[in-house]
Amino acid sequence: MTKMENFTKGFFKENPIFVYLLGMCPALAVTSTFETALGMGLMVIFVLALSNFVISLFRNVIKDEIRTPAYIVIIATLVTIVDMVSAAYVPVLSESLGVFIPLIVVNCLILGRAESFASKNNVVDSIIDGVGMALGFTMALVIIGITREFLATGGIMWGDYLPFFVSEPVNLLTLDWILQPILGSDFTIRDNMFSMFSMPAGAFIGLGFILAVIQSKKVKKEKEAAALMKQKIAEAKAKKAARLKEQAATDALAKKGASA
Amino acid sequence: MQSKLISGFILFLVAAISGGIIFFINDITAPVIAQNLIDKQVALFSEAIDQELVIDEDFIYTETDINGLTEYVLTTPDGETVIGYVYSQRSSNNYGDVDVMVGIIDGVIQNVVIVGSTNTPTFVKNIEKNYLEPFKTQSTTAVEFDSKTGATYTYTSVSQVVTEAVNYYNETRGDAS
Repeated sequence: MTKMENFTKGFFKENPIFVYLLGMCPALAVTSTFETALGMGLMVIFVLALSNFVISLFRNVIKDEIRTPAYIVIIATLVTIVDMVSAAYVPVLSESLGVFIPLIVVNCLILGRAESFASKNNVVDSIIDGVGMALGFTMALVIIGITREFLATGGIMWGDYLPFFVSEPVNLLTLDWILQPILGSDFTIRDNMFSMFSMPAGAFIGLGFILAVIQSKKVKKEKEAAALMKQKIAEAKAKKAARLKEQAATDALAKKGASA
Repeated sequence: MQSKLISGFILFLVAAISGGIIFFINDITAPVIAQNLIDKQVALFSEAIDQELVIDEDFIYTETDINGLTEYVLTTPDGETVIGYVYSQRSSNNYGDVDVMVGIIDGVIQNVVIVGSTNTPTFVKNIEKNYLEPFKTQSTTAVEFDSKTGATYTYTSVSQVVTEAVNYYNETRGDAS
């Protein structure tokens, strides 16, 4: 596997949420808005990249029989650092994510990559794997977050939880921009959207819908590949049959010639 | 035996290094986290008494717990003049807990704030948007509650806290106003 393949596999081919269905707990719990989804993703990038780096660095020192407790301690240390730093510098995000920050320790994705990749590969490949998989995880969380927030409020906010680059929360996108000039300034799209998508039921429905779309594309691709393979096999069989017929005709001619 | 000792030593080393790193990070972040908590408390006080306040510049406060109801007495930095009173309590209902703050100045409710809640978010938002405003400028001796809110449990919890707050204020601070 090349370094580029190693880095990009986490985005589509081996996406932790959409393909492996790992990390379902944060995928449902913290994706009510784009910002909380992005915040969680950034934390996972930090933890996964560094845990892969440390575990790979010491893979020949940490013996097999103690690898699980050692990996857990390393991951838990990184998560504790993330928890303390977020409580200090992004307290609103930290409060919003709540218990789901410490729960990163038991995210199957992180321990899974440690066991299946970092413990068996060199440091550079392990970091690339960690960053790639975490970016794929973040991308999936952000897709779910944007979908849910848009369906629940009719827009996407920035600055509520991640107060960077702005002095107060701003609308990145809202249907009010299109609808208020038509329906009047009293109209607010938020009051007319599906607030259910900001709640747990909406999380399941939203995630299920996205998974269904992705799986339908995957099934369509697999069907097309199967049909192409079937066609190729049929062509090969036809060629073989034609060749055998020709061979038989040639043999018959040769026999006739010999008997004459 | 030797390999077990080595494994134990490696685990000890991992734990010791992790502990050291966490101690170091805690040293840096603990003061910032403590300041964040103070800032959050000040912001809640400002919202409860409907005035912008800066701690140590505009006010200081003392905190007293009275059987679950917490009273914050806000005074000028010299401690001579009372600015107002803020009451905070958690009320539980069938859907969870509701944390409410009530700000009172001179016998008049300044604001009622839902600080936190585990009730259904839509209902809490509805109460915050439509049913807290009427509490403002009401006298503590004659508080009127809304009879139909469509979110009975949450509003009942809010009303409970407001009732306890004004009752305590009238009994202990009413003459001072």
